[in-house]
Amino acid sequence: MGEFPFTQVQVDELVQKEKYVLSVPRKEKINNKIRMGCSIFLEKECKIDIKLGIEVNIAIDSLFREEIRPSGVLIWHGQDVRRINWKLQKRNANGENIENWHEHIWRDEERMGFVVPIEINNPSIEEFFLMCLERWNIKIVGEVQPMLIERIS
Amino acid sequence: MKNLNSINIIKDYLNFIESSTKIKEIKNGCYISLPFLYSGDHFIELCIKQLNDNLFMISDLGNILIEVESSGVPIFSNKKRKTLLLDIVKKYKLNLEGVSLKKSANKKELAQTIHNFIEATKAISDLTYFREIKIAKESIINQEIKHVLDHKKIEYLEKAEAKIEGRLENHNVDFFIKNEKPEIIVTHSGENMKNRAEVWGFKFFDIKEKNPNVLSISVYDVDSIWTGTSKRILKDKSDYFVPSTDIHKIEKIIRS
Repeated sequence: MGEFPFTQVQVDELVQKEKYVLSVPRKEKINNKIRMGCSIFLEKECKIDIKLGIEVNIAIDSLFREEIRPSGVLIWHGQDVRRINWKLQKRNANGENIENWHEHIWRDEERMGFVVPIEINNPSIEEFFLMCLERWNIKIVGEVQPMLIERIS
Repeated sequence: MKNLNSINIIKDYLNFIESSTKIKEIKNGCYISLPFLYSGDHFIELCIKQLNDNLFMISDLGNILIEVESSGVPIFSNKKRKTLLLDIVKKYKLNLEGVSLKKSANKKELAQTIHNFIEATKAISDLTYFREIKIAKESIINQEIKHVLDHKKIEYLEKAEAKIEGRLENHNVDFFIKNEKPEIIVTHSGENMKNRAEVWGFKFFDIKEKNPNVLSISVYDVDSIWTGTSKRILKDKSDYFVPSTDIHKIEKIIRS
């Protein structure tokens, strides 16, 4: 697995660790999709890690509006290590079939091929972004950590 | 006998395809999941809407391109991959609308068009084999600067619009905040930082020659290789020299 600068254990530790974003980023319209994304702070150093980011995307299409759902990724060193999306069906790495919303979990062997089903109720892109933050243990600096704001100022 | 066996094989295969295909009825159409995998081990899924008695619109809802791009394989910002993408779209007679693959088809064309979506999606997915994990740091740093400026509700110009006058020539910067006392932000990332530092040392000097009130901020990528000289040039010639790990501090520097 020399191609990747991390292991499954390191990714799991990273996800569990408390992390921060400065604020909820604004929605950007690029190539007929809406994107919300930003880099993440690691609390220990109070430094932005530009190699660690979160982004959610949703395509724009008025004809298929009701069928379009957002997807979100946690990116580390340019590689997605967690992903949440919706599929009518998904063949899991262990052979079972998963339907609808699921989360991809980075593993050394299967990379992003292993998924777990999750319950989500047709969120807007903003709700989905907040849900990804919560799921990946990322807090919004301005809302929850006044002490941290002082330290990074 | 030989022919009979061949027919059975094909029949079995088509039965397998049919039994592995999942269909969900939606308003005026259906959502289908076909047993063909693309990157991320996802089945190819398409949405089909009936527009009238004989016309259908098919879309992949941006699935393949959003997934490939957000997994760290830039397509639209990479000239080579974008050219390959456009070739694939053309070859399979599909349309690219933003990030979505789309095509209208009449009843007679529908099966072939679905097949073309499968072929195109597989081909686009293959673009990920040429991936090298290389982070476009400058663009990530700039995204984060935007995030900070947006957070402070500061109006700014960027990219081609972010141009400032110097005494000798105009200079493109990464961000330009138009004020009585203008502010500019320039990101320094990549390789060959010595050349870059020298070039920007001159540019900052030229800008200040024209308007001494300009506040210049250099944001440098802490992971790029810097010599003491390169850093010193930028530190001397810009008003603030901010490491990429402290982008959030720009919020405190900007005077708006």
